[in-house]
Amino acid sequence: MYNTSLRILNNQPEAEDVMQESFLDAFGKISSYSGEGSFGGWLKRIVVNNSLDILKKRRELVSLEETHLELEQMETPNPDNIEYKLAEIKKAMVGLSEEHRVIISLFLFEGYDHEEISQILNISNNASRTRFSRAKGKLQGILSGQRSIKMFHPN
Amino acid sequence: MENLDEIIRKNRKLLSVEEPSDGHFDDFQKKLAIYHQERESWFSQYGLVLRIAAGLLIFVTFGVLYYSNPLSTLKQIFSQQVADSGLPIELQEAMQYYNIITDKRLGQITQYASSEDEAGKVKKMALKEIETLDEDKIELEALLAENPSNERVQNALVINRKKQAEMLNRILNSLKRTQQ
Repeated sequence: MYNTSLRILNNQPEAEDVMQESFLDAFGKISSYSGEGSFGGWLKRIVVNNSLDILKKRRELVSLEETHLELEQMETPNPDNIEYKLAEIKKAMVGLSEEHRVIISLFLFEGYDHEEISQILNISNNASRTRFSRAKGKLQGILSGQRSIKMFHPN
Repeated sequence: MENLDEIIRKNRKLLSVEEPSDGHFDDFQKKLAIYHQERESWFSQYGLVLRIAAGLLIFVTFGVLYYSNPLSTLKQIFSQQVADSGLPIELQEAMQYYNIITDKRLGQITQYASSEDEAGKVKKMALKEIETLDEDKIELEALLAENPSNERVQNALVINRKKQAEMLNRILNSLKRTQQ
């Protein structure tokens, strides 16, 4: 849950707040849980909605410092190493715009389908698909850029 | 990078390893205490003695459990139970979260409970609450062992633990009020 919020918000203290508030919401709204879907899914939806509410209230300044460190601290980076690939993806996620980061998080990381995302973000199913396609293109672009930089400036 | 979707989907766990900061649970406890103070508590309808006795009873029950297993803390016991349960990761997180809150509440009840004893009637009632929840839990675990993918049973198990945490919250808040 924490990671779900952290990916959307890209801010640790805010993600912690969201998680706390979400569990309190779950306490308060437990009577509205019908039992039809999974409890985990219901709880995650609260976390996602609360994270999106926070996003609406602010415009963020993207900081790449932390993830840069994570990559730089890896000894002899090997592009075929899965840990290295994942670190690259995490770094690239931070570099995405808010809108693109959210849709990538919901679709690829959280496993929502476009129908569910269209409800969560209040957009059409087609808009969700288009936005995802653009976001994925951006993500791949950032990843290619990272590769090129590493190739020409290994240290 | 080849097949980005596939890499992310296959490695969701490895991509979700960040942990909240150390003070996170303490902050949550504070918020939870405020939250419960603002809500009507069913427990408040019972008298002062009832609250103290119920708090004492639960404290003693869990105290015995705690000290009868010196190699493990309650949290470790709960965590192990959750890890062994075969529940999906999200439900494990929820169970673990409520278990940590329960564990912390028990510690706090120790601070607030006085040494007065009596009210057998009340003791019976509080004990019955815990016994009922535990009986339900045992039944649910048995059902889950037969059918580990049954979402309704999984959810019921989490709600069972949540109720226990909520009950301890109410008791703790009542004890706090009696001290004010």
